[in-house]
Amino acid sequence: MAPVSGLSPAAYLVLSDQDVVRHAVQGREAAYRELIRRYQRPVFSLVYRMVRDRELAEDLAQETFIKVLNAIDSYRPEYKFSSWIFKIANNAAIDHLRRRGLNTLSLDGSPHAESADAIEATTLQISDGAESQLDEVASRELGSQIEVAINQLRPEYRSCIILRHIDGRPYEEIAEMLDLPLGTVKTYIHRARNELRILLADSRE
Amino acid sequence: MNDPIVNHLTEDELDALLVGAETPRTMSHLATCPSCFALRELDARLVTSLSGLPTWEPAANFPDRVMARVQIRPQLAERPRQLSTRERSARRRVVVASVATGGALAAGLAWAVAHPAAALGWSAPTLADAGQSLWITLQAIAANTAEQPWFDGVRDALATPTRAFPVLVGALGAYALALVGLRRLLTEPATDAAW
Repeated sequence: MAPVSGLSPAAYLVLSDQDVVRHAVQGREAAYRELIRRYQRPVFSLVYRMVRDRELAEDLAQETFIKVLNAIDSYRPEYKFSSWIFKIANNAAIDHLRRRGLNTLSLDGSPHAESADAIEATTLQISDGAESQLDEVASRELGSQIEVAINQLRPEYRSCIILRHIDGRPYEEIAEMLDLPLGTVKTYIHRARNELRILLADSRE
Repeated sequence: MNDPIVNHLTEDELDALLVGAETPRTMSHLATCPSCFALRELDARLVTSLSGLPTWEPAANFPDRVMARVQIRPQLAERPRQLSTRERSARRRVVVASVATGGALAAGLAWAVAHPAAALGWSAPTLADAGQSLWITLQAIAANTAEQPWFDGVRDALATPTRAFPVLVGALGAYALALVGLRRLLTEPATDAAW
C-alpha cells in the first residue's frame, strides 16, 4: 500500500520524537526516514562498540530498526523513543555476544576489513580537542586503550558504561532501557569503571 | 571520632563528584586522603576520555536498506483510537445517567399529559411560589444596586444616547477583548499545523 503524504522531510527536523512517531503511525514514509536519520548513528555506534564488527553491527542495527519501525503502532508515548530503540539494539547485541562469545578486539581495525581504507576506517580512534600533536597522539592512544578495555568487560557492564559515559544517558533511563533495577545499573557502572581503571593501569605497565 | 582516611569515598560519592556535586564531606576527605584523590583524578580522566570517544555512521544506503524491509501501514491513520478501560467505563456511566434522566422526564411528561388536572393541581402552587420568589429577588437586587455609591455616576453616563454611546462601545470592546484572551488561554498549543 502506498504511504500517505505528510510534511516535507525538513519539517520533521523540528518535531519531537513523539510527534514524528505519530506521523509514522499515520503511514508517512518521511517520518520513518526521520527516525532512522535521528538514530542510525547512535544505535549503530552502540552496537558496533558492543560487537566490534562493522558488517555485523550494520546487520544488528538494521534488524533493530526493522523491528522498531514495523511495530511503531505499539510504541507507548509515555516512554522515551530513544529508550525503546536502544533497548532493542542492546538486546540484539547482547544476544549475539552470548550466542557467539565474541569478546576480543583488534586495535588494527575490524577483522572483516578487506582493504586499506576499510582497515583505516575501522581502526580505533579518539576524537577530542587535543591541542598539540603530542596531546593528540596521547589522546588517541588512551582512547584506543579504553576501547580495548571496554571490550574486555562483561557485555552487561559494557552496555551500561557505553550508555552512561559515552552516550551520557542518566541512570534512570539506562535502567529503563535495560530492564534492570536502578541499583543494579549503578553497581554495573561502578564495577565497570573499577575494571576499566585496573585494565588501563595494567595496559600502561 | 571518625578517621577520614578510614571512611573512604563511596562509589556513589565518586559518582557525584564526576558531575560536580561536591559536599563538605567529600571535599574535606579528598584534602586528606591521597588514595581517594588519586581515584577521583583517574575517574575524571577516564570519564573525559570515554565521553570523547567517537561515534560511527553506518553505510550511506543504511536507511534505504531498512526502509526496504519496513511495512508502512497507512490504514492505521483511519483506525479509531482504542479507548482505555477507564474511558470506556466513564462513557458507560454518562450514557446510563443520560438514559435514566431522559426516561424520568419522558415518564413525568407522559403522566402529566394523561392526568392534566392532577398535574396542574400539584404544579400551580409550586409555580406561584417560584414566581413570587423570583420577583422578590429581582426587587432586592434592584434596590441594592440603586443604593451603591457608583450607581448615580452610571445613571448620569447613560442618561442620554450621546453620553451612553461611547460607554457602551467601550464596554463591548472590553468584553470582546476578554473573550479573545480567554479563547487564547484555552486553546491547546499547536505543534504541527498539518496534524
